[in-house]
Amino acid sequence: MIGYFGYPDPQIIEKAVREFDGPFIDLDVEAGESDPDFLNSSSCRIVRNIIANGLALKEKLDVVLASVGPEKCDGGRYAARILAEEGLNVIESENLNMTRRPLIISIAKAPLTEKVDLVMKSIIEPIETKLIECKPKAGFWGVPPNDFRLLEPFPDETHIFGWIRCVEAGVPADLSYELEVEPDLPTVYFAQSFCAKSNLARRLAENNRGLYIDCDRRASRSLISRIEAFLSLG
Amino acid sequence: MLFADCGSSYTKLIGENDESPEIVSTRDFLGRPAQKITAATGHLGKKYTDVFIGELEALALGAREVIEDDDFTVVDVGSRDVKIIGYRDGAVKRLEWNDSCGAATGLTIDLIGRYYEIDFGEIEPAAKPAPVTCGVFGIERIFDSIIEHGDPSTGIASFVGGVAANIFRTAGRPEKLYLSGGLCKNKLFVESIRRQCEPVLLGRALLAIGVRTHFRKKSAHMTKI
Repeated sequence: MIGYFGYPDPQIIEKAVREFDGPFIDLDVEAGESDPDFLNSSSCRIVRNIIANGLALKEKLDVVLASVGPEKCDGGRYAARILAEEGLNVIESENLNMTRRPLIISIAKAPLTEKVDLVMKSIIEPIETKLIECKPKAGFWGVPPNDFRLLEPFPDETHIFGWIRCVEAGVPADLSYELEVEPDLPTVYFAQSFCAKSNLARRLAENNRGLYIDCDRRASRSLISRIEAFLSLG
Repeated sequence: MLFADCGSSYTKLIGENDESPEIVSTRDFLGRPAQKITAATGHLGKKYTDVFIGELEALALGAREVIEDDDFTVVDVGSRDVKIIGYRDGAVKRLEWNDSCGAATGLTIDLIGRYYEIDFGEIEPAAKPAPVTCGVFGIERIFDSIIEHGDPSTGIASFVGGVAANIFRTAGRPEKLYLSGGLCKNKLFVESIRRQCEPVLLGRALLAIGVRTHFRKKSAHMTKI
């Protein structure tokens, strides 16, 4: 089993495919594992997922491909160190590619949950899709939320911005691209609670036609209602 | 036609041409024979109608119906939650809804008033509101007041002042704050808000008005189709 988190350098992913047996498992995604006691509960849920999943799968993981550069965050860098100290085989990676690929999924008509899932899967292997571009009715900016229910209120004609768009374009460390938005498009600017990106999200929401939201583990009823109300009133 | 805001403690009903709502305790409303509700919002609203609208949307539509400004902030303090909507240049800029802790909302203030048998209208707002990060812990102020002054009034004033200060801060410290909900009738709360900014009272019908507006728009759209 090959574990990974963030968006490792594609060359390192290719090398891992040659040297180890799959399947690939995204350690960013919550899988019901308990957090180890040494983790701070007021820290990013995604980083806690990485460490909890890594430790739970320790005996099954041949390797962990760890994003530790600006395409991820310091939280990822520290998680890589913690997993290595706990005895896992960690290969650190920085993905600094700045040559953008054309977008298909982020600007297509399809349920937002499906689009986000497809983009994240494209990290490991190219996705064949017949999705068709659409004119946007709303925007979602940010990273994949820990709770995908946040994405359910959005119309199919939602365009994706922020880090997820950067991932599809192959440039996860391109901050300028991450900050490109459509100012007049009603957009929900999302960050995981305790994430440094929350400052970007809040600022973008304030300066454009946006709603800032953050969420830790589970989306509350009021949070979903705020999204629904914004998309309706937007 | 009848439009309803079915809250946890009170249900507000408004007809097609009414300006003020009928207010009935939700417990009594649930005990009524099945009543035809045209459209509704609120925690229990979905049970009574096929035309349901979320509470934040109802509050926003009701506010847009009665407030002429394009820049405004409206707060609805209910029994168990607080909703805040801010508009700027006619567009929604702020949508807040704290439904995870009702300790510093209408029900807590109501319970305190009943327990100590006090008239909120006879208590002066506190010069210095207490920091009320949690309504349950904030009740300590009232206990301290009884110990120090022999009566709870000072503590209650500090507590209500603290709730008002929290709402003012969460609303973004506006110069003017439109107030919706039962606390519009609580003189101590209103005067505590006045210590922070100018309060404008909108009464208890705002969400029901918003439901009615939503239904009218929906009907007009269907007629066009």
